[in-house]
Amino acid sequence: MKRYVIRRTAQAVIIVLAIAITVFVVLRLSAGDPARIRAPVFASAEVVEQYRRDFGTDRPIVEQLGTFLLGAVQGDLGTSFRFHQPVTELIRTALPRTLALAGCALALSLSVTIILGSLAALRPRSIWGALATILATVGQSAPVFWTGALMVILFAVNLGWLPPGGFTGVSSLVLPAVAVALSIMPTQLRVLRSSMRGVLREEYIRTAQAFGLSDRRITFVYALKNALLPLLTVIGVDVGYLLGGVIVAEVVFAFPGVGELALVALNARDYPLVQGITIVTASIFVIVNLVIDLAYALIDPRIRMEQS
Amino acid sequence: MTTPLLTVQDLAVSFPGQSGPVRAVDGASFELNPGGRLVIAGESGSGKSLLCRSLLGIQPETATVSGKLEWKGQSLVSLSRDQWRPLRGASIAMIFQDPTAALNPLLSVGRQIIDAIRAHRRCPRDEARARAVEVLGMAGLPDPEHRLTNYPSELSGGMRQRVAIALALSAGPELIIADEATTNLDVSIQAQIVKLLRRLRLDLEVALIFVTHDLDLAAEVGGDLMVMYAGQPVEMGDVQAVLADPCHPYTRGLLRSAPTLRTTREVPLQPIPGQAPKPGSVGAGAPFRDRCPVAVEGVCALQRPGWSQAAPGHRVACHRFEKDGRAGLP
Amino acid sequence: MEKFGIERGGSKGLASSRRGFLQGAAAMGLASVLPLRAAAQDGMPSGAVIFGNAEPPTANYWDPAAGFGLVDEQVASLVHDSLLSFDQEGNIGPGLAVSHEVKSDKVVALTLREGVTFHDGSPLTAEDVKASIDRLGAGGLAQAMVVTPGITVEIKSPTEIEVVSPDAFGVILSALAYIKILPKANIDNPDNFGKGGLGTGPYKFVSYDGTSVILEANADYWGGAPGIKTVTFRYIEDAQARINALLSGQVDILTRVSAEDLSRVKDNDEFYINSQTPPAQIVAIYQHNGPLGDLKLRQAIAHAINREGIAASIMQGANAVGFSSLPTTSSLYEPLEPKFEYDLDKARALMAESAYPDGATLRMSTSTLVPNQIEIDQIIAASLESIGIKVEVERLEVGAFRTSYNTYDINLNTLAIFDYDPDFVLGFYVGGTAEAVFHYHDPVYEELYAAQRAATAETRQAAVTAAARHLWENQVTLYLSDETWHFIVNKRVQGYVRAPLIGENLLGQATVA
Repeated sequence: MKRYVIRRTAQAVIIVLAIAITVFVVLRLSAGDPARIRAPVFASAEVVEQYRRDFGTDRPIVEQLGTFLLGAVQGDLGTSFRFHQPVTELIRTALPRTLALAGCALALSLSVTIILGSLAALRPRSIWGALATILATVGQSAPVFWTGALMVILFAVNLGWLPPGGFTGVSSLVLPAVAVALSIMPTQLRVLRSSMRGVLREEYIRTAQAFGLSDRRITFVYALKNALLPLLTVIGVDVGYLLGGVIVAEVVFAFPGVGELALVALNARDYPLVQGITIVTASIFVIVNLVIDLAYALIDPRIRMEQS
Repeated sequence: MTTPLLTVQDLAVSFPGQSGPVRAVDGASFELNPGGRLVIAGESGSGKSLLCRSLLGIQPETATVSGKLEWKGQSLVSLSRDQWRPLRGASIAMIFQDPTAALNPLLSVGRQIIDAIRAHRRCPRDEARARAVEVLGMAGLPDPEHRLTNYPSELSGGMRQRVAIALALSAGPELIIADEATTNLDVSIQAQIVKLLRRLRLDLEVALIFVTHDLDLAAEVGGDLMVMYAGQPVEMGDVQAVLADPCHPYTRGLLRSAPTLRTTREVPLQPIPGQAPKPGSVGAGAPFRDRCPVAVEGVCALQRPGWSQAAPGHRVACHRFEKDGRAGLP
Repeated sequence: MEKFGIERGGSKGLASSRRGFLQGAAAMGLASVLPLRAAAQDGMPSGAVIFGNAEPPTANYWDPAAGFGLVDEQVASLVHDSLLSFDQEGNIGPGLAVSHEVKSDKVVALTLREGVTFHDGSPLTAEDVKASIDRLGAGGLAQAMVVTPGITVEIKSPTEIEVVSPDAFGVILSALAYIKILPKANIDNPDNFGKGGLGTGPYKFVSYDGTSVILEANADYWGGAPGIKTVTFRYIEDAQARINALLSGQVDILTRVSAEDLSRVKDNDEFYINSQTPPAQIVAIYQHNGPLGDLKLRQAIAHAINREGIAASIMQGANAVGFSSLPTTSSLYEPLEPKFEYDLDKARALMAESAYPDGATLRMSTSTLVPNQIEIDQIIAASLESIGIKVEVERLEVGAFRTSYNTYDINLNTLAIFDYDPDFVLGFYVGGTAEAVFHYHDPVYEELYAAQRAATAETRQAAVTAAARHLWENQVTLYLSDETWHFIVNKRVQGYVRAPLIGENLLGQATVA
């Protein structure tokens, strides 16, 4: 197990490093001259040259890459052109909000999925089954920007219960989290429902029944733990989709998280910030997948045995 | 006269079919006294497992149970889910055929036994844990204390079956149903498990229903024997008596077809020709008629045989036997 | 590329010609009574107002002379004062100068207000005024174009100064009501502009976090404390999010809104609308150093774009479409021939005659500077596609857009001019400004421009029209339409008025319920 963790972690580090280098090189080669973009329209050639010196873009690209990587390792991702603040500081402000949003959305989606999906699998013809089907269909067919806009009009503009956007506290999380949760729920619900149905037919469920365990215990402990494994895979695959949904939600709700920051950074051609965000999000992506792989091993003793 | 622990009379388990209900178990009848033994024998697909499950009310949801089924005089046929729960595990416990499939792969052995204990007894976790160690010890697992944290995948097949037995013992049942509990084990372990079950039955004074397709094992267990074919009982009586003097063509065929330790090898094995019918597909008539070498023309196809007395306590359901006695048998 | 000018009422009377202007200005010089701010009499500033803007400041650099952004102007107009000031009608009144006297068409004498201090407590001196104006005269800054090159301040005494222009400068008072007076210390050390705005104005700069600029009332303001304590300029990029923020009360005032936004509040009595019709134009700026240096190509584009269709659909009829290089609201505007009407056959014929008969590829940047800019740009791109011009559109945030639009071949922008006199709009196309904004250098036009400056009242109309015609026939850039500015205001903000296009310098008169 220990060797497995070490090997997977090393892989993750190499992936992040490769992404960092690629992002740097691609931005430097494909994008315009940052100094030309940031310097005012009326700036003289000397002023533009001064910008180049400030940005360090007057140096050979290999040297720039070296400086960048050396800084990145020490936690210094440079200074944002657009915000004139250290990139790490900007990300440190935005990231917790995005993680809170993604976390709330995932938690919300998972809670509904687990409760509703389990009940729907246990009693397919009950109201729970119908509700699960409706939620899955609605979530599947309605994109985040649409549900988001609808919720804003209803709950923020007409009813005035919640803020329509921005970040003013926990209440600002509610609408975007619900919108994102709705978009990621259908897949989860479908996967859990069908894996739950399969698991409920398993012999060990019969055993648990034969020993007088309650239906609740059987469903939410004996069956769920087994049914969660396919769901876990889906969540791993869905992290990208989740992040995408979060970005859309951040734009729709003007929520100042990493997604909006990334969009601003891109539109402002703020390369240090684009680089920083890409590296941080890529790292998160890699870490989440790593954690899921390890969680897999943790939940399933059979995998744990194979790996050791 | 003691009240029988379990009374089964004309028990049928049927499924909805295209042309009316299909009976997968039909006409099962027996009584089991406290501490008693019953062996149910038959090929796979003969409805043995379904019969056992119906005794615990865990037959598939689409199945309907009819007839008489009583636990200590109380009818079980129309119990609700909640009424069944206190009986399961605490009064009647089951050891399933395949311990690999029957144990939850993601929960530790200890967790599964402790849950089974606490499903019936509100007791502190420590107490349940101690009981779990105790039953694992009773089931003959070495070092039971350390087995608690093991997952089923970490144990060998024999050990898993011992865990399944411990699970069955955990809530102190009065009846244990061992459904092909030794089928997937190799011969030496089979013998150990049968020995264990026999000893436990005596030590704990628990009644035992032992389901098998192996008549040798049936003899090892002892007690009463019910031979089933296509969901219907065809011969009943004391195990030793029946095996010494099988009176149904199917029982005879079964004995001849199986390699056994007690029959001599001079006679070559003779498999029963044809295939076992699907349960419920036999309709009226004698269930074994299509494979029977001595079927009575015009009778077996139309009429279901009634019980005839072969010896005191030894009954057989066969037209040929009824007509010609032992002389007519192959 | 925006300049913020004054409204029709005032400056038209003053400055429609230099002579008329001089007379008016002389009369103005006698004015010495301050138009005191209504709210100041009520005592302490209270409450907060939040503006919702479609754009952030151009950069985190608070030098008012460095750019023309909407937010830059909003902040500068509240943090800083000018020597003179505009009122709601666009009339010029006193500011940091208590009185002024127009001595000639090149010289204005002013008396400085005494006892004025910057927000850091340091006193305002004639040196600060001189530094602020001389740097524009020296050129090199974006706002240098609002003055004549070489303009300078001569200090006669600590309170007496003269602003001296080397050439005749008819609209000099309007310029002095626009130019912000900054501390000399910051001008000498421009790094200080990165720390925040420092001025003498009614509001103090508090913070900018990349999204919101926060200002706080200067209770000791020489003109009396403003009515509202806190002013926030919040950047909300998404148009839907912006109008929703207004409707749900998260922001109080939405600036420069689109036609859809107006329709969202049409029957809503919680809001009122403040509309301004300054001489502003929506144009698609061309860079002449690329394919758009080709005359036939530019003329083909003019025929390929249905300007009236865009004005009627996306702009919902709010903006007039002109047939000249001047906005229709400009004085001396005359519709010209040919009309360059929407005609794809003509467009294709001109393409065939151009240096790019097989088509061309143009790079376009788009942003949220002009209301519905992205939608309009999509139509322009699609229209050009139909005559064989491929348009590669890149999305930029407004700040980056303002600093880099001239690296793209074509981009939608606004020429919002400083004064109703066409001199300013015609001035975009000469000298360093023409080079920076359009990569355009045209000696023939420079002569026409000089001629209209030197013309007499009798010959000026003809001279202006000749210059405007040269730009129009050459289709130097795409003249899409006029631009009307609409602001939606929540009724809890009382007494909200604007002096058109110079930021929010009259906000001190407003209060919040």
